[in-house]
Amino acid sequence: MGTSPTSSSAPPATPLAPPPPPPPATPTAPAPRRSQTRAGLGTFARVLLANRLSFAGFVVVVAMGTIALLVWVDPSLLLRFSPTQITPDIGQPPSWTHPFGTDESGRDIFSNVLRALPLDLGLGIGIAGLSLIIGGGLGLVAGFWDRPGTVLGVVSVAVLRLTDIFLSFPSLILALAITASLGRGVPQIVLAIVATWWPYYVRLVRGEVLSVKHQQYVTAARAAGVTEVRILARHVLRNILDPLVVYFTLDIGTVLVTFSTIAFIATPLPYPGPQPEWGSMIQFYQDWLAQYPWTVLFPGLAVFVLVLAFSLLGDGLRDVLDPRSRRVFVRDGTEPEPPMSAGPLSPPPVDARGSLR
Amino acid sequence: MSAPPGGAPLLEAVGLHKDFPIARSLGEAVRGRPVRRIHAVDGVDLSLGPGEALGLIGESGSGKTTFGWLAARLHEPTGGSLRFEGREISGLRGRALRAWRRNVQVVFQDPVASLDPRLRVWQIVSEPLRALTKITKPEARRRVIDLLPTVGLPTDCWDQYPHEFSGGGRQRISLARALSIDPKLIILDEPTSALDVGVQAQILNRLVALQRERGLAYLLITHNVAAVRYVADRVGVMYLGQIVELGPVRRVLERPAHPYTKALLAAVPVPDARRRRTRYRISGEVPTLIDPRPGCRFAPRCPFVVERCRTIDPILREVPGLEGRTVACHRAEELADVPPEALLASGEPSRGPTGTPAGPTS
Amino acid sequence: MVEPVLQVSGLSVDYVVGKGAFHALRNVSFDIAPGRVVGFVGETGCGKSTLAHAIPRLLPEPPARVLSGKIVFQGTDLRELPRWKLPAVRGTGIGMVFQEPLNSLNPAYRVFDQVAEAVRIRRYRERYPAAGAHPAGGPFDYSKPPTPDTAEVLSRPVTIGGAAGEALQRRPPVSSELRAEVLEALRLVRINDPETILRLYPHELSGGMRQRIMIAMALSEKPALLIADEPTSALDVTIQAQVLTLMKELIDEVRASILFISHDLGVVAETADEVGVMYAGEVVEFGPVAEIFHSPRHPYTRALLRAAPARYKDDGDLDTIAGSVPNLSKLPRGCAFHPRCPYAAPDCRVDPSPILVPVGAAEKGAGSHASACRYAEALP
Repeated sequence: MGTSPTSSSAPPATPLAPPPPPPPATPTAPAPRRSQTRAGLGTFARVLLANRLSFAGFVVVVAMGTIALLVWVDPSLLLRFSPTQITPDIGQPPSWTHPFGTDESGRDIFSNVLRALPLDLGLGIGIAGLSLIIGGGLGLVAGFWDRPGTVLGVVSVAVLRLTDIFLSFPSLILALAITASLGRGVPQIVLAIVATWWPYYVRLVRGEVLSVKHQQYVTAARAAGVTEVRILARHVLRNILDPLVVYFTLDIGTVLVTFSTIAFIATPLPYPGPQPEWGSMIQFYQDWLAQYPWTVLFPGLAVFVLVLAFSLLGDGLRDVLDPRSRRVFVRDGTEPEPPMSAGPLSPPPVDARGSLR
Repeated sequence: MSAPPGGAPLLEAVGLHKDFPIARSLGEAVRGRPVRRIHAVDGVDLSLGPGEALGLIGESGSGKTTFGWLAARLHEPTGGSLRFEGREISGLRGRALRAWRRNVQVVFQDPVASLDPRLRVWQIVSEPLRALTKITKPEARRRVIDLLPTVGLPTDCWDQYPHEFSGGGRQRISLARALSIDPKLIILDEPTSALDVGVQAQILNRLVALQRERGLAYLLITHNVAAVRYVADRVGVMYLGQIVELGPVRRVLERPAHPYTKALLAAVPVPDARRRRTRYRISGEVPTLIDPRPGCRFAPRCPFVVERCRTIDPILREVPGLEGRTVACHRAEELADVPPEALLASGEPSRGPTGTPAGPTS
Repeated sequence: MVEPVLQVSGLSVDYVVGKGAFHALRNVSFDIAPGRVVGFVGETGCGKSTLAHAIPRLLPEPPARVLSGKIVFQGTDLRELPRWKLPAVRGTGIGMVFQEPLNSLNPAYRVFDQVAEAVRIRRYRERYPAAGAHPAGGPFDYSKPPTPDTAEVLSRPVTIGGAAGEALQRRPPVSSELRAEVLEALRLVRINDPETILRLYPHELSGGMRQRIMIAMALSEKPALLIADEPTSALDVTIQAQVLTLMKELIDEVRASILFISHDLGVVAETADEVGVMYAGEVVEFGPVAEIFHSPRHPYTRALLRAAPARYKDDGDLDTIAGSVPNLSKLPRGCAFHPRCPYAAPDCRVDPSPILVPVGAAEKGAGSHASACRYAEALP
């Protein structure tokens, strides 16, 4: 019969058919053995700090986010000039008054670059997020219910074929074509990019679902009587979430670049105007590149820094999110190639006694 | 067919059949080539009494795991009938199927893959409880903590993750999950195959103790003769989707009657240097299960094969002199007492290790 | 006294991970005499696989780090060789057969190409040292002088230009001779229809057949030592029995020494002449197979033998080994086995265990029975 030296608070269970005595109002769970993989802020910080580059990415993303929020709430908190304001300083290189310099008419580049930050950052996250929701949802269905001969199986095949069709277009050209037919404007570009973006998420999510759903723990859950929808939410979704989050983070950067490229070509927002945008800025200033290089340099640099920061953060997240890799950092040791069977749960005390009599 | 001693069967399979179609290539479909099928379980009659431990033993490709999955209703049978406590369960679906699941739980082979790495021990163990009964989280947690000692785990590990346990510890978690809903039958699919000998013995002891304490029935599916010997009351030997021999564990293992059983038992290496000698070996490899030919499935490898073995399917039948046992062999009467080693002396072909190379398996 | 093919002495290997270190091998010493089969047995994580990879220096370094010890193969200490000379030892000197029969063969090549590569390597190395020394006779004639000694091969100067150019000119073409040798290699491992098998890809073969091909490849380089790391663990019992029978028959034909690694006591009992029992990176007992299995002189060996379940449930509980394998980064003080040992005395908890002292009536030297337990003689 099982007793354990540490089980003082819980009586050894008897055959459990009827639930043992009425539960106390608050369950008297024995204090859990401290799990070394507790997901806490401390661990998160330690992992991020362990890799300086991903930490740098994390800091930049947080800083950019904060600045974007401030600018969005009230631009005058940070910026001295409005984006269209003409100052007497024409074509000035960077200085204390104009950190990023001014252009040929005396507009402050710093104000314009920062004014564009909330828009560009928001669009990056928004477009990637929309694609994630649309493509991820379809991928989930296509991956999980792919039994041929069922209604959902047919849906799944249809989704996949549609995905193939969309993927076979060169996405940038497709996006440009959509923009051209829909006319100028930010919503049009968003629509155009999302239309070319979601198929990648279908592929990604379906692939992940396919690999997870054949894991034995999914079968085990099914044998335990768990419903399919709950299996999808509790086991499948949860186990594909991490690669998805990592991909999403890296993807924000890619979306930013694509958006800037399309904006450079299609200029959705008039520049100079009340709402500047980096791609349009670079497009506008390209003629002045030789004369006032900072007018192109700083919007370009803004795109570069933001994309790099998201990439580094994404790589760092990969390490944080997996509880198994988390342990590598926490325990200062992973299992070397022949797996060690040395868990913290060393001797199961019950059977231990009866041996080698 | 041998009924379990005493009382109505808990689980009863009659002519159970499961085949899997092999996907055709587009070209084959266009040319109208018929779909070929893998007959993984091909007409199995078996019954299991309440509180009984039945072992199913066989090599890979014998269909033993498929049978276990059928019995757990993780596969849908393609033929035959499967009854649980007299009720047909092969048609159960949806809510009725889930309600039935509280009777039968499964412990899987792979101690790593069968536990969701994202969940904590108490969440894993209480999964059947929370799926099949209306139970609050704290209540479920408390039940789990009560249950952990019975599988030999310390009570304070309820909040850990599976990867913090060794293979044996994980298999205990798996066992606790199966026990949590208090089923009548647990299907053990190679429960100790991934474990070291010392740990394996711990788990086997626990299984037997639990069976005694709770009156559980087991369907133990394994290739490990030692595990079957210790846990099972009766044992069925499977080969290519069929049961070739079935009977009380002691008699089958000590006096195997079917040529395949003899070969299987002789092939198990024994940790005893004195018994090192040239032993009876069967040649060839397990052929494929794709559209098998008529006749005894074992005929191509059998050293005792005669003409009728190749044409007539042997049926699982009682053999005079082998009480309580059924054997599917035409020559069971003559062969029951022949020790396979006798063949070595008589010079029949048995030594050349490979026969024909079993054909490419694709 | 025959010169051993392989002498391992005081070999210690760590896996360095982060700030910690796993002591995967600690002070391992043993000899393998020509034509002998030495089996190593132990539980998961006892270091047996590390040992198999450490001898031909196939361990990834880092994370592995060989701390000390000698690996003397045919008179050369492999640890003192520069890395670029090691390929000359592997294959023709030390052959290997691994556990995973699917991963060990390259899925992109047909069986012929893979076996032919092994044959080519050996022919090249045979031909290169002294052209004409081994006139082409019947392939797989084991009465021929064996492959040149490793030491000799390694001491040979490599000159670019003349010698290499000459060798290139003499490179054997894909000849009928090569094909004949490949067929011979496949027949050696009792493949009945080698002509068909040659044309197949690894995925078209069964597990047992793949393992035969692996053995054929290893043997066609005529190694002086064959290291077999769990060669049958992935196979079904009847197939395992066939492969083991084959290996036993080949031992007599091929005259190679074999280092056989397995977790299965039964497999080792059936194949090995001498057996080493490993625990937590140490060889705790070493001796002739009959003595290890019938009069074990180490508590761990005894526990391992008893735990092999061979009884029915009416006969009572199975014997288990108390506790579990220790964490190799935090080994207990004293003898590594003492926390699980039913005979542990106070000094076992403090003093490190002795290194393999001879026990019983055995005389010193190869084949003698030795145990790493200080109370080996006193065990009941």
